[in-house]
Amino acid sequence: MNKKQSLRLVAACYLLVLTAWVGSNIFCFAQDAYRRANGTLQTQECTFESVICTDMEVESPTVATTTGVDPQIILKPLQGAVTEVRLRFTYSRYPGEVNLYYAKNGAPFDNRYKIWGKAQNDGSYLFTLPRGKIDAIRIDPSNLAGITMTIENFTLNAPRSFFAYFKLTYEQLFAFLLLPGFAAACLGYGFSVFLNVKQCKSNKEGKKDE
Amino acid sequence: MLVFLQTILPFAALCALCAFVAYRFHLSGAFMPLLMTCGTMLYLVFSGYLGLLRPAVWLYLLCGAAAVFYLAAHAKKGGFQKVFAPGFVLFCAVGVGLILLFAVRQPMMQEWDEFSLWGTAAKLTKENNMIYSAAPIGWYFLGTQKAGFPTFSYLFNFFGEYAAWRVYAAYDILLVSVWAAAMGALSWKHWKILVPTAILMFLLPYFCVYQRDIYCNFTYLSAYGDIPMGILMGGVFAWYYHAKHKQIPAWPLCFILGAVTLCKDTGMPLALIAAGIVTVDLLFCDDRAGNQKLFSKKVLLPKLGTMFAMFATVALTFQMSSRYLVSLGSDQSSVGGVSDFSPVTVVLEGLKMLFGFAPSAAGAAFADKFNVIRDEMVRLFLPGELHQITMIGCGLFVLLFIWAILILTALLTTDKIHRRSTLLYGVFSTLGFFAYYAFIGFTYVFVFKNEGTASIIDYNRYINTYYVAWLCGALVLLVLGALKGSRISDALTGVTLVLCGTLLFRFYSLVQPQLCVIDYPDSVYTEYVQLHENTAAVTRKIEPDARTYYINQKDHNGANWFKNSYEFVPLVLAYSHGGGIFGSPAALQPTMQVNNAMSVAEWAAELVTQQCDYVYLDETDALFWNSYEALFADGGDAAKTGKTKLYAVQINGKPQLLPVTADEVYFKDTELSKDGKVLPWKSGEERQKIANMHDVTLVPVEMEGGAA
Repeated sequence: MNKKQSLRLVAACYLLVLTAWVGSNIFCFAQDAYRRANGTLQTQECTFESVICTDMEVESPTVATTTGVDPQIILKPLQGAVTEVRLRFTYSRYPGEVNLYYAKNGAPFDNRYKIWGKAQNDGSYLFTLPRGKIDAIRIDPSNLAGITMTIENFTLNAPRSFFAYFKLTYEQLFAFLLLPGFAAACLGYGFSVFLNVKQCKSNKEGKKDE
Repeated sequence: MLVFLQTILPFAALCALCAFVAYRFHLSGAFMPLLMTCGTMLYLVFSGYLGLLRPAVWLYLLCGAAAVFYLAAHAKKGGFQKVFAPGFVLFCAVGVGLILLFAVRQPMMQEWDEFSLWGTAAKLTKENNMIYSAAPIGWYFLGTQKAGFPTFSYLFNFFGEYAAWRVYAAYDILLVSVWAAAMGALSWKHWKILVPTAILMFLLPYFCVYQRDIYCNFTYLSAYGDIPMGILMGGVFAWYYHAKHKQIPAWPLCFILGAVTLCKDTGMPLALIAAGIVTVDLLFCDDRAGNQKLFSKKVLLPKLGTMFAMFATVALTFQMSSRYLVSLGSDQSSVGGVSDFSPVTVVLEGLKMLFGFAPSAAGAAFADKFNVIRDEMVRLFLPGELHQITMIGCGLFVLLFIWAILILTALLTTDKIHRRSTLLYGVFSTLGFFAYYAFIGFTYVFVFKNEGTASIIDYNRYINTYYVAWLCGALVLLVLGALKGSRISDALTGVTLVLCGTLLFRFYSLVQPQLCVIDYPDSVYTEYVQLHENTAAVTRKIEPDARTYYINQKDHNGANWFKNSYEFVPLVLAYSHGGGIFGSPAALQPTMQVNNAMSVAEWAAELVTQQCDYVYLDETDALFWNSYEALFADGGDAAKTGKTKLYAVQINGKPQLLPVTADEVYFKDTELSKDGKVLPWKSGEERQKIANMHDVTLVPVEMEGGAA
């Protein structure tokens, strides 16, 4: 492969991935819009009384205190699809770990299906769930006992603008920098090997003809 | 934005100096970052030994500026093609990217030894503008550790306020300089090898530690010296083998070896092993002199000179750092710990026992412990439950993995000398591993305090250092094999790509980008943000020269004391028994567990003898108030009601101090000698009490917004 061909191959790989990323985001936007229209994706405001709370003492719809070291907020069964959870709690003191688990295909909650919240500018944590059928969600709001929590915002499927679907995460940026380059190197190597084999064959045939 | 500029400026100076040297001496720019970062570390540390750290940085930055002007003046002449080699461009791009990422996300120190050593050392260096060993701190500090990393990080913290993320940026820039060296001989046209090489170098530290996909991984977000030291040692091989391919003399390796020596106490053996492996290659595989015989006089003399320079650099660097520490009052004649042997005695006694000879009388006392440690280290090296110390598996699997890479390289390369080089590297790096393994075992026997298998603490951390370097060398040889050509149609490039793909897949499934430096969750640092804010509210009220006593009744293991000690720098947190729970023998119940049982008069005496100006009550409980309420002018009301956490120590006149009597000691079985006398505290201080309770009073200090 000459320099020009190499550059074209690398550019093609990056362009392909970029197109796929833009396409998938447009698809997600369209899918969410369609599901909102037919009612299978709804914005839901939650309180401590509308969910299952364990290891917690619920004092009012928006106030609860953890009574053990494994407090859990369980959302089951889910009404329609859930694509993201936005959470803003006020804690009486440092709450320890806050994270979300999801369960699929009737399986129990598992550490492999765990999501860490992304801090937002307004102080809330955003958990973006994977696409596909999710049976239940578990939020661990703390891992300490005696923490009083007040709900400021606890929303499932909050409305998102079109551009919000294109917000690039660090993980995506890393993948975008790395993977197309690696794919191009693999393809480039494959082409080189193919051309070498072809060359060898034609050389052998040339010798035979001579 | 400002803090980003403050950090990027020293990095720009570093890059400019790299470009200048590469341009001036017609070298590939990829070879420069590692030499320049290591050279910078040596320059800063030795300037620090002379007490000239700050002027040294100014001079460095001036040189960087001069380099920029020189390069700008020669811009029209061209000739920069070699400078902008892929390794150098990657170094500059990743360096800027890392600084930008950290400036936005601002990771903080969060691991134990970051507070007890590495982070505190970096902060002490910055706040006092001197080598951390000489900086003031209120407790017995591990000032005997080498100063390479904390002093190098000073360059990036030079402008503006100290920030932990700038320490991480410094460490990671060191690591990225090794990536550049691992691409030294590669040009843009080798892009199919360049891409997997860059990815493999990024993944390298992840594969030499054990990962769990449910916890955040702090590789590239840590100030610990072990893995960076291993990568720097791998940098010796990366730089050497690529330089050999490009016919560049090997003597600049002295900079890298010197830097490895300054990383940690175990840096010297690692640097010696690396120098030994390079020496073997220089003697038997170095074809830089073309067709001349390997051992002709013309070829041999420069090689011997290089070998001498390498070993002399390691010895001199170690000697100079020891001399400096001796000048500060540190005893460098002994390794400390349980034996107090000299380093040479440790090795000799260990070797005697290892090879079945009778140890000396002093060494014989450790014979049983030696047997236990030896068996445990052999067991941990072999496959078994819980022996997963790297992502490749146990030590034996790492050895096999590295040998598989080396054998494939040797089989497939078309270059005979490279084949010999690869096999010699395999043999001597394996011997080096067993030497290092034995050395670590000896330190467990003669230095570490615990008995039996409990002595093998932090085994993974110490051993993984070598695995990182070892694997780095093997990858470099594979990449060079791919560059030199394969017997079967570019097969070594294929091997590099397959290896890269496999490791990338393992990385995505075991580490996960969202749980590592790439996209770690913000909540990881919530606790430390809180801690930083709490401490800042207290330290704002304390004068620069004041000493503060620390109380936290929930601090069972002293972790919070270390964390606060780090946060307090440049202010001094007094020793305070290294944290733990305090209680007066009079207030203690038989079932209560405390670390520091001392009467109110004894605690008051300690405030006097430790010259404390303040007491910081981070966490108190009923036991604390039952024990020490009498000392507080307000009976502790301000603290109990959350108005303050800080009390000023008022000493009236010159308090009379009396020795503590045997009757006043709570743990009679451990605190009294055989003849019934009160033993001093572990820190060696004599136990005393004040004669008159009115001589010491604690007065509340008002805090804005209360202590909450």
